[in-house]
Order: sequence, then C-alpha cells, then structure tokens
Amino acid sequence: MSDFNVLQPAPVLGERCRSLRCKGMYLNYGLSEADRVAGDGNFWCSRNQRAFGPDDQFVGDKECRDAGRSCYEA
Amino acid sequence: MAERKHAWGPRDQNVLIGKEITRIDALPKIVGSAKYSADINSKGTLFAKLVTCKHAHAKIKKIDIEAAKKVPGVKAVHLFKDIDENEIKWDGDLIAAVAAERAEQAADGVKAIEATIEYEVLEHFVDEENLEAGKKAERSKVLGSASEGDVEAAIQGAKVVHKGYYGIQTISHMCLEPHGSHCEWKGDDLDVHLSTQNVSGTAGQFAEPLGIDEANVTITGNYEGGGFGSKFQADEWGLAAAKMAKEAGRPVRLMLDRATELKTAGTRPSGFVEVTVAADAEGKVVAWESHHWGTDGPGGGGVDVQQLPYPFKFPNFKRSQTGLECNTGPNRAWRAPPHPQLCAMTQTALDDLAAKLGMNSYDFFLKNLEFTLNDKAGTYAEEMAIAAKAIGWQEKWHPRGEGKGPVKRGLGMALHRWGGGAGPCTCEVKVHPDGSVETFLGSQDIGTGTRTIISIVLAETFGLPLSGVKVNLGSSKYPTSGASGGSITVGGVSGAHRRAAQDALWTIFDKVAEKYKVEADGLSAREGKIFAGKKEVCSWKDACRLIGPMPLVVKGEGPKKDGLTADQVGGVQMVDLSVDTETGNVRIHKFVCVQDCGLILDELTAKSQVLGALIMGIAYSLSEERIMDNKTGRYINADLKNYKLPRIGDVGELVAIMHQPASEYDRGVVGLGEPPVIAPGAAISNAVANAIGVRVPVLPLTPKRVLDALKKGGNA
Repeated sequence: MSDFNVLQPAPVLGERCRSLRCKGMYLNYGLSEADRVAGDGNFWCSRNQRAFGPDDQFVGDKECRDAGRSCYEA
Repeated sequence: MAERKHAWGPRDQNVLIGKEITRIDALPKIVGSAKYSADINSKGTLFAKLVTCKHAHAKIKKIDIEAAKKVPGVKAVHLFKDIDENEIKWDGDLIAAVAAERAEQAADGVKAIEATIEYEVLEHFVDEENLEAGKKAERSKVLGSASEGDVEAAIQGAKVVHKGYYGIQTISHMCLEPHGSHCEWKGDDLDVHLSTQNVSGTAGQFAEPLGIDEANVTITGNYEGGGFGSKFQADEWGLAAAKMAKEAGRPVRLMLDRATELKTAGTRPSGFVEVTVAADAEGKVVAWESHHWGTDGPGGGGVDVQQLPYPFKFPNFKRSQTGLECNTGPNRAWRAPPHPQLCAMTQTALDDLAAKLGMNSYDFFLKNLEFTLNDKAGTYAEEMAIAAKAIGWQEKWHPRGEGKGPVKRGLGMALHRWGGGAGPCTCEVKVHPDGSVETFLGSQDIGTGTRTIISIVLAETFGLPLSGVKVNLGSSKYPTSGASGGSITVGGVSGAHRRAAQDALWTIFDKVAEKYKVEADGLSAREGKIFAGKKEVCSWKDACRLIGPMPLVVKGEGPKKDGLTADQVGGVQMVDLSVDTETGNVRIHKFVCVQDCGLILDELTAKSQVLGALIMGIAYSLSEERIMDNKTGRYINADLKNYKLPRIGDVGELVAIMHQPASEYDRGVVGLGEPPVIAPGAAISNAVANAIGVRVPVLPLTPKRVLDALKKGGNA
C-alpha cells in the first residue's frame, strides 16, 4: 500500500489530436455529454490504426493532447 | 383527433413482442448461406499471411521484404513497421504481410521474410501480477486515487475487519471469426467486407490513411462471428489488405491467424488488489479500502477502478491504483468493460467478510443492497429471492468448508449492474404500395439477433407476420447508425423503428379513414388487416394501395426521451458447484441468472444472451487466461489447444430467468448483451470458497490454484 497516499494532481488537458479515436466516439455521436451511453479507455490513432501513433508513442486521451508530439494535429 | 404519441402497446395485446422467436437468420447461418467476411472469395482473391515478431521487445535491424516477392504466387507485400522508428513492443506484434494466389504460397513468403530479419532484442517485462518486480523494473506508474468519508475511523469502530488479496488474470479476445477483411478495389472505389461492430464508422477509418474520399469506401458487414468490444477499428491489418489489393490489382483477404488474434487483437486487462473491508455488528459494510495494480499492456494502464467497490457506494471508501507497463498486447473493450474485474475484486472480498461475520452470504448481500447504485435495491432483492428459489439456496447453503469426503459442494452468489441505454440510430422504413415493408440502416447484427428484433418491432407495429418485413443492414451506404457496443444497439434500433413504423402507420390510417369514412383514431393493424374497433375495414394490402404508386418512406431516429427505451439493468447470479480437493477440479452443477432488462422484445434471444454470457463467464472463471513466460516474454498458450475454453461438459445446467414484472415492461427497452457476463467470476469464486473453506484468490480457478489455496489456507 505504499502508493496509497499519493494524490495525482489534476492534469491540465489541451485539445485532443484530431486523429485520436475511441469506441465512445462511435457510440455517443450526436448525444449531449449527459446522454452519453457508453465508452471505455481504449484509444487508437486514425492515421495508422494502431495503439501507438506515428511517433511510436502510446495513444491515449491524455497523451494525445500533447501538442509537443511530432504527430499532433489540432 | 387524439394526440399521437410513440409508445409500446399493452403487454397482453402483443402478438410477437416478448415471445420466444427463433432468429430470422438462423437457417442461413446453419446451412452456410450467411456469408461472413472470412467467407468472401470474389474472383481473383489473394490470400494474406502475417509476419509477426517472436520477441517481447525488440528493434528490427534488418529486414528484406523483397525476398517474399521472389516466392512463386506472391503478388504483394506490406511492411507494418518503419524499422528506423518503430520498436516491437510485444510478442506477436505485426511486422509484414504477404498476399499470394494461395495461402500456402503466402506462408512461404512469410518464411522468406522471416529468414532475413535481424533483431536487436531489448529488455522486457511481462510479470503483471508482481507489483514489486514492476517497480524494480521501473515499469510502474501511479494512476490515481480517490476517497470519501473517514475510512480509518470507520475501520477502527467496526465489528469485523477483513484483509485480503484478490485478482483476475488477463484474457484475450477469442472471437470465433477472427479480425480481418476482404478488400477489393473497383476503380477508385474500395469495397471492404469487414468483420466489424461498426459498419457506419469504419469507412472513414479506411479512407483517411489511404488518402481517398470516404464516399469512395463501402463497408459491408452482413454477419459477424463475434466482436465483444474488439471490432470498432479498420485496424492496421485492414489497411494492409487494402494497400496490398491496390498494389496487386486484385482483391485481398486478410484474416488474422489464431495466434495473432490472441496476441494482438485485444485483451481484457488484469486486476490485482489488496483490500481492507469492514462491517458493523449487523453485517453492514462501513468501510472499503483498496490498492489495485495490473496491466492493460504497453500503455501502462489497468482496469478502470472508478466504479469500485462494485456496484456499491459504501459510506467510507478509499482506493488507489498503480499501472504496470508490460510487453504484452494492448487491451480493447471486452464485454462489459471493466465490470467483470470490478465485480470479481469486490464481491469476493465481501463474501469473505460475510464468512468472517458468520453470516449466510445471501443475508449479507441482502443487508447491503441499500448501498447499491441506481436505486435498484428493491429489484435486486426480488431477483435474489427468485434466484435462491431456483437454486435451492436456503436448503443447500452451509457454512464454509462443511462437507465430508474429498469432493466438496458449495454455493456462491454475486450481483451486477449495467447501463444499456439506447444508442444513436437512423433508419429508413419503406412501406411499398403492395404492402411489403423493408428497412435500411447502417447498423450491424453482431450475432445478438438485431435483425430479428427489428423484424419483430416492424411486424408487431404493422400487424404483419415476420415474413412480411425485410431488414437491410450491414452496409455503410445505408442511413448512419451507431456502433454496437455498450449494449446500446437494441435500444437504438428498436426505438428508431417503432417511431418510424408508427409514423408510417398513422399516415396509412389517415388514408384509410378518408377512403372508408371511419375515424383514424380508432384504427388498428393486426393479422394483416386494418380494424376499426373489432370491425374489419380492409386488408393491409388494400390500405397500402392508398399510398399511391411510390413507396411511403419514413425516417426513424433515436434515441429520444419518449419512453420507448430506458437504461440501467441489474441481475443476480447463483452457482451450485463441486470441488474435488484431490485434483483441484471445479464442476458446475447449476448456474442461475436472474436478469432484468426492461421490456423484452424476444424472450429467446434475450435468454440466449444470458446463456452465452454465463458460458463466457465460466471460461474466465475456471480456465481462460493469457499465460506469459516471464523469462522469454512470450505468450505461451496462444492457440486453441492451450488457451482453455469450456466444453459442453464443463458448463453444467444453465438457467436464464428474465425478470420482467410490469414495472420493467413499462420502462421500455434496455440493452442486455453485456451485463450477464459480469457476475460469474465472483459467484463462482464464492461458491468454491463456500465448498472448500478457503479463498482461491486469483481467477481463473485452475486446478493448480485451487490446490495451492488448499495447501496455503487462503483468505478467510
């Protein structure tokens, strides 16, 4: 339980990369945030259809808001 | 005229809705005329095979794909990796694909490439249960924590405190039809037969990376041999098939082989937890504290524990999580993510607490229903009573470990919840002047009976037999409809079709009223006729002739908040099983699931969902797991022989009881596909603990783990 008291700071999130995709985008389109029906934490890149982007780094909701990534597109 | 409002009819007047109706595509599936993507074999089709890596972590120093092109019959080769940029991150990661006239020639091409590859092997880590090793290897990261109330004070004031360790191993997606596609270019247009849960959403996923217009891509997915959350993408192997088809000027079929399917097409993350849980003298839980770890693969995440303890909100709780970055295949949604893991990690600990309190598990869970989410305590209590009667809980239950002889019998239970609201759907319903009816929608039937329930809704609404309506789905050229995930398809398509069908019917009623000088409000459609009260006015065909020479076309949309659909379901599962304490084998005798899901459109397909889920649940509870070799980093059971799934003799008697009192029917349609797969892990583990008197802490409960737990003594 050594990590128990470690509180994560709230991440500062920017805009998602335009190539970020997840299941929820195909389930919740057109719905308001309150009416979203499903989703999960699995993401992929639409440019290469992989869980790792063109820069070979992990594709994720947090990771793909980093405008410093070489493959990031607003 | 009375206000017209979309609604389901009175339950006792339904002719089709709620009955046990065989799937309308059962026969084509049985005789083989139903064509899956893996069956598509248009003229000139090339067959593709994959080059995959046999190392867990490596760089490719050298590779010669031209070697494959010299192999007779090989027509195209695709390289997945930029060897200067990309690392291999897990055993089975894709390197290249080869398309040839025959599969054997493609396999020869694969061998030719493999002979040229030189790797730089890098350090790997795959020991996902070992938190300390993960930290030592610098593969761990803190994912976060949450708390509410005063856990320490609640534990101090508790009557009984239990501490335990629990876990559930990673499993892989094991769709009967592997991931893959058949790609064929027709000029600038690309036709893709894709095994997908996302017919309307994948054309763009092909178009963008291929640099073509989405309008030039047609996705077809008439039948799917299972997806379970893993088939929403075009996938890199789909793009490879399209590129090779372009290169060769021939269609290419690329379906993953079984080993690659297991290693690369998605896993369900593992979860391990240290728990402290406490109760007062009455047996009510007063505090929950847990620390989690596990992996979702190379991303270093884990099971999403935000809904833990599941599905309860106890007055005081605290939880934290560490993720481990492993050289294992990445995860994808697996039927009801992440509820099966949360249920297993919570309700095994709660059952151990009940044992420590000296309480019957049934009484303990009943007492703590007040802490369940979504205002379902009353429904759970009803379902518990039904399940207990069906399995003989009160007659058969005994305190833990009581029983003579080497074979011990036990009972266990668990409960679950799920959202299952209605997803987006657009359909176009056509009523032809000859009375025939058809609908078009870019949805998919992933094996759950979507075609059938759409047919039921249309036929019920128009008063026709099932044969009087035709369902056209599975094409991206049809009106856009949402992907099938989250158990939202049944709500989405049934709501949209009921709306469209009622709108069409009301238009026809108005024409009938004018022609036959009757009140439109009093008209109904049944038995292929139009009635005014009990008096027959005309036949359905006569009514449809009033439409004119062109079809009546009505668009249906959803979801809408009009009462046709709802969300939130729950269920209770109870298991009666035996454990052979000499061999460690677990044998299921009877497995009861009582499940609510609002208004049931087809009792038979609903029960089929439950039964299939129980079998999947038995699999991950007793035998199914990914086994990684820590030394080599390889996935050592990636085949159907060693990745153990249950056979008929392993599943016992399965009982699906659909709980649909009037209050459920009145809620409207709610999705069912995922929820029944959630509770088996906890229910089976609890039954094993009841039988043998010790907890086998980690699922699946293989004979070795059972014997190890008996030797060690286990939790509680």
